[in-house]
Amino acid sequence: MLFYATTLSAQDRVVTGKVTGSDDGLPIPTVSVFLKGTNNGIPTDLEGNYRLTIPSTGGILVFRYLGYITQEVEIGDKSIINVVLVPDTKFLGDVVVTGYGEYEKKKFSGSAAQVSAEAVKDIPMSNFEQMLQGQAAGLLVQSSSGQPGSAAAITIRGVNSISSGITPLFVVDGVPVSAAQFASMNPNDFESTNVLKDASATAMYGSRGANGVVVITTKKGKPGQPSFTYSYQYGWNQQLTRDDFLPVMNGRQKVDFELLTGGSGLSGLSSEELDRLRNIDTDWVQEIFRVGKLQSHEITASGGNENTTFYISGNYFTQEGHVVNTGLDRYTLRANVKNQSGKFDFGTNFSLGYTEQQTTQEGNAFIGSPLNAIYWANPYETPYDDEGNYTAIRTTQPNPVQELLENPTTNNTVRVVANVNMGYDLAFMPGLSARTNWGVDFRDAEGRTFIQPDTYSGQQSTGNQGSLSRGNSRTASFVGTTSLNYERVFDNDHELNIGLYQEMNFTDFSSFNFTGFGIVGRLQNENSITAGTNSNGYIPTVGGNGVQSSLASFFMLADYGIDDKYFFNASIRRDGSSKFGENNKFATFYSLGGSWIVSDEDFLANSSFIESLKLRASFGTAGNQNIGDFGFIALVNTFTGNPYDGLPGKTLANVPNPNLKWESKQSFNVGVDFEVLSSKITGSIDYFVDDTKDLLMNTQLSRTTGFASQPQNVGQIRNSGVELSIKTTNFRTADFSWETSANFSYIKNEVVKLADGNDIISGTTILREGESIFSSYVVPYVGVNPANGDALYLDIDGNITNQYDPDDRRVGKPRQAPYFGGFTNTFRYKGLTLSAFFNWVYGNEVYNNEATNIENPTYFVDGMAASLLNAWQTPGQVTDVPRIQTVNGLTTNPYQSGTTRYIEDGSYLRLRNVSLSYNIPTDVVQTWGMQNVRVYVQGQNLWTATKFTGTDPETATGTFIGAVYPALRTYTVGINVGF
Amino acid sequence: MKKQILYIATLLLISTACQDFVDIDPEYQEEISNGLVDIEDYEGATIGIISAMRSGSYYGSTYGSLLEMMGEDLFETPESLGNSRSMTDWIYTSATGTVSNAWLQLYQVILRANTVITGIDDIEEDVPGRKNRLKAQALALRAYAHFDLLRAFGQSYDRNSTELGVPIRTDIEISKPERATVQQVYDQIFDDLDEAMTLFDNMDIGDDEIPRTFFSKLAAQALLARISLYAGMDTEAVNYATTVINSSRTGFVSRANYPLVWSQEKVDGTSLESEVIFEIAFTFGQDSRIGSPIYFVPNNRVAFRPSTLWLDLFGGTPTNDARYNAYVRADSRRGGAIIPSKYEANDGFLSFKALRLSEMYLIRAEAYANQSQNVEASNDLNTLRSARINGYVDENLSGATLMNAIKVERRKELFMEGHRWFDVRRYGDGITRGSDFAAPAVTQSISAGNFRFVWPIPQDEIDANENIADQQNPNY
Repeated sequence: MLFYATTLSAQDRVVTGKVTGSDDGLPIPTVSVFLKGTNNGIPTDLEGNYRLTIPSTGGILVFRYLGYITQEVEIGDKSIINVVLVPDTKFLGDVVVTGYGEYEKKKFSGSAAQVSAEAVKDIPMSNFEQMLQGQAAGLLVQSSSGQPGSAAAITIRGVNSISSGITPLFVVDGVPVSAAQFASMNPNDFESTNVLKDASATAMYGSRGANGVVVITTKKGKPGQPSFTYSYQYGWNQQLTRDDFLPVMNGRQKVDFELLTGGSGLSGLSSEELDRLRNIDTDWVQEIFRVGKLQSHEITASGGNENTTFYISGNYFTQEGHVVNTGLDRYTLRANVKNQSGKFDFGTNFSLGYTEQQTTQEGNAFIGSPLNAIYWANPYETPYDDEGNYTAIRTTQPNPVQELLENPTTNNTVRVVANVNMGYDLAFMPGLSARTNWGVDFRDAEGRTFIQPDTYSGQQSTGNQGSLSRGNSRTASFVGTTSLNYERVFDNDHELNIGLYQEMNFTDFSSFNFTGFGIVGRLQNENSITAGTNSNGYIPTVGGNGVQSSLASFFMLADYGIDDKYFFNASIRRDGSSKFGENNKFATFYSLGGSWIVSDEDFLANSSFIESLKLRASFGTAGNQNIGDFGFIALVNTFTGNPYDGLPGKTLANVPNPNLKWESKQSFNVGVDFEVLSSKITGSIDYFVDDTKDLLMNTQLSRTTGFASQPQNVGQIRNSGVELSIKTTNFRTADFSWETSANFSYIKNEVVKLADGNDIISGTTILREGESIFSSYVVPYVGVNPANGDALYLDIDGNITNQYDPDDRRVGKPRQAPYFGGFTNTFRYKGLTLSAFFNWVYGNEVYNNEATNIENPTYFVDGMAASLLNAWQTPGQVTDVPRIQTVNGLTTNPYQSGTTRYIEDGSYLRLRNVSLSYNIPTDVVQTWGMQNVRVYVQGQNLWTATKFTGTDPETATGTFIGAVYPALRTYTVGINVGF
Repeated sequence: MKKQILYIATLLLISTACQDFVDIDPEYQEEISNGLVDIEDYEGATIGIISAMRSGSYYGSTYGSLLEMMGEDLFETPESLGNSRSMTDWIYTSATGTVSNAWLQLYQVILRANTVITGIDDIEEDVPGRKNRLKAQALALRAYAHFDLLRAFGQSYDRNSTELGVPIRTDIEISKPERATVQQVYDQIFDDLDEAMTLFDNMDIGDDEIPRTFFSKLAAQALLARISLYAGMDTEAVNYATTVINSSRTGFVSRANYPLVWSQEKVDGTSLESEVIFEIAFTFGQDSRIGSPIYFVPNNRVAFRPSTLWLDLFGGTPTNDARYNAYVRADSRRGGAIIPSKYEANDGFLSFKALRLSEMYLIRAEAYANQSQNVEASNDLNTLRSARINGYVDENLSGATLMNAIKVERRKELFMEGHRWFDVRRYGDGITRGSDFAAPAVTQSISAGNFRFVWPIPQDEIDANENIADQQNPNY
């Protein structure tokens, strides 16, 4: 045990003083003030004052505070020592926020990347996670959608699970929040984002840390004169036409194509009618895409005095989708308040978001999705007939315009993320404090789908007369974290920081939905539903669900520093989860890490090249508990909602596994942080090996059991890789500067072990031991035989054959990009700033399922790819499109989609954001009564280099199933005004 | 929930509290320990057996529409999305989803039956005979599913064949069984049905009170007639069929009313029910539609149409045969093309008629014919035809002519009811399709005895069950 056990002697005297910051001149409370080489120390009070009894012999006083450069002052015979601390602008002075505490980067042995608010500000996106794209090494964000409010897929250091979720844990101000519905939070409120990657950084999150952690802190007020800002943004996107999509036949080509293949409804039409159709050429893309506009208004106020600070903001964001009848409106409020009174401090961070989202289905291959119909509706059809009514498309394909305009789907979400926290410095032992933080993430989502009776979807509703569905789901997640922290410095620069934590998480989910049928009248709500009777058949369906889950944890975090050069971080955490049975309800996770500030050693002290150099290493474990809730007990389903002949039935629901346990990840990380050439170059390099074991996989059962599989902890995968992030100041004068920041990641993924070693094939991908997770798995397609137009494949022995055989499938490249990164160049000239941000992925394959649906000639009655015009027709013809069977009457060699013909290179380089901004000189704006004014123009997704033939190479899954809502090419202008 | 919040608020640092905190019971499902405890639960579990027969992998599509699409009586049109082609073109492999899904679904039915059979004896009964009713139904349906598995995957239909049948399941344990012989499967089926018969005789209600949508003793007798015919047990087939035919609960409806049998959501409880012994209910607004993918009614996609071969069985467009007008119609939207309208009514929500009276006549006729009882066989054929065809004149047939007439009558009477594919196999015939089978469907014929008449054991079963791994059917 360690005590402030100082024996006062007769010669003792007292030193007092005040500590202020050089940045704002304000007092700094809780600065650690101690006599060098002793246990004798005290923190400064709220006014920055301290009072320390020292021996009459004097000594050296050390002043230490996070984020500032430590100062040492020779006491001599002074009795008042006032100190001005200077912020540490050096790279290693950055602060890492872990959610349970803050670390000077220097003292942190873990691997964590910071994304500053500055880097992502003003990006016209509703969804926070999309802004992180390309911003941090090891962080891969892929979004296949440009639909306002749609979520992106985000992974940290590769895919660490096969079936239990790969999304990292998100934590806002100490409150774990769901990654879903980020669109209802205002990203402008976020001050900093820390991406925690290795064991030292994530083991403290125990059973939820295996996929990495994204820690977000929101903006806080600063003491001093209140400041007010107003920001406005206006944007619009570019109109898309069918040239932006996979090329399809025009009206004339399509009519002639159908006549060539025969068998379609056109065959019986008169030549006049056919000519009329040939001259119709509808661009279905233009019919449903538009120039969408976006606007954002935001006000903020922040300020406070030395006791109390506040930050409040309000934001209204509205975005029209570039598909008609889609869009998002968001209203958010935030109030952050912090107070320190005596030994107590308390605070609250409160945010309320409300979004109204209008959506259309995407990412599927359903006939009823308007975004599919832009391909499948024939170009010789029109959306409206001569009388202005919707056209009934002759092939029974839905009319995409009618489906979009008449069948609105809206989602309204209320989201509250809030916490209150309180701290107390325990008087009886200096350095000992208690903290508690209670938080909630509350989401209430209501979805409504109206299906108009006359539409294709309406005709398929029960009773063929449309439907109205409304569903409500509510998720309330509570967290309570209470800790005892002890912090002290003793024995000549030994720093110790220990925290004992106890945490409870509880989530309550419930949902309710109904669908009513028999829509009549003009209303689009419950009053348009016809009540169900035995004769009309409009019997509504009702459903509901609910589940609770909980997590109870104890953990200890300990940090130890020696001589301000050697640092150790350790953590141990025991978690108990409701998702596991008695046999494995509790599990322990741990980490151990160390770092060494090499640049502070004598042998580098005088180096003119190296400014800072730090080596670090960490090892430890984290878990993943994102599994279904009751896999460990045998369950009985009661199907009241799907009765048989009006009577409810019961059935066994699962094959339980009472030994179900956590997926656990073992991580090893070594890294170096450096700052060289007079701080012109700073950066980090990391190498890591992550082994995820006990992966939850569905072990195949003999189907004679009545079930296909049972969940078991059998799989193992390994992610290893290198990350590099670097920031350089290439050029700097008083007026002009050019900075570059870049990050690069290489992640090698390997499936080490699967259930019984069996391959798992899903669609066109495979999981196979020794290969990357979800690699392509199709038959190699090698072209067309000029003699007869047969499609040619490679068999497993490498021989060319015209026989397609699934046994000839080969493992290809991974669907998840192994190489990815981003880079930004920023140029500043006086008040003018120009920055260009690119991101890229390389080395992945994608499967263009969308193309298979319009290149499959057996679907010739619907819209077809223009590429089929090049199909083989005469012997000797050299082409890459095989014979269309019906044309030549040959019926062998049918069309196949599971071949490399549809595997494409998913690599891309995209100019994600270009921004030009101008800070109007302060002396000018002050005459307007303002503090600062900034105006800017921005372009989003302006340029993309890719070999991919589809609309947008970005994909979360590696498969473009269909109904692609491409990313927006958006232009924005904006102004920020500070008062 | 209050409990948990209280814990957060009080922040107890006591590990027993922790243990309680992380013990949460499911809210929308029941644990087996309190989900299957009383007779009402077993009533539900018995309903659960039949409800699994609605699946698209069983009577919802595979054992209904698909088995007809695999024959010559329906041809694929350009409106088809081609999703069934691996089956209809007879190019399926052990990896074909339709095959493996059917295998799994039928064993799911057996699992549900076994849940009742193995558990119900431990339950207290409120009304004497109630347990008997439930257990009898479960046993009969277990036999039903085993037989349907045998029809598709078994290597022979002969009663005493020692060739491979299918695995027999009589418990709910996790195991990896090997295939029993065909003979052993039949033994199990007949044992189950025998036991069921005894239990049916001691029920809480009369057999005639069991709706047609549930399994009655009458249905079990009809099933026994069908199985006996497949197994080559002609005497038994005649006897069971006779029992059903002579039952006061069966009888043909008038020709005028016959189309109504196909336009009602279910015939149970109506005067039409005498035509049907067992129907699987597909309820409006609750289930999928039957008849898909032949004809998906709501979006008017006719993927298969009656072939010329089938239409020619009627000789032109007869107005005197009630079946023709009940099963097909000319479609003005398709230039008068004949489309299959049998399951068109009620938006496609129609019960699937799994056991019908007319099949009993056809079974008995065939069993008589097999025993060269030509007069009795002709009589049954004449009775059925008279019931359907206005002005029908009796015929007396024999030998190959008689047998052929029975085959033709089955195609006409049982069109789209899931018989054709198994009938062809049972007769040892092949299939030759007509000229309307053009691209995109490509395969024209399959010869008698082709290995594909025995479906492959699904690859995923072989992967998971080493005991069956070397028991794949030939040529797969």
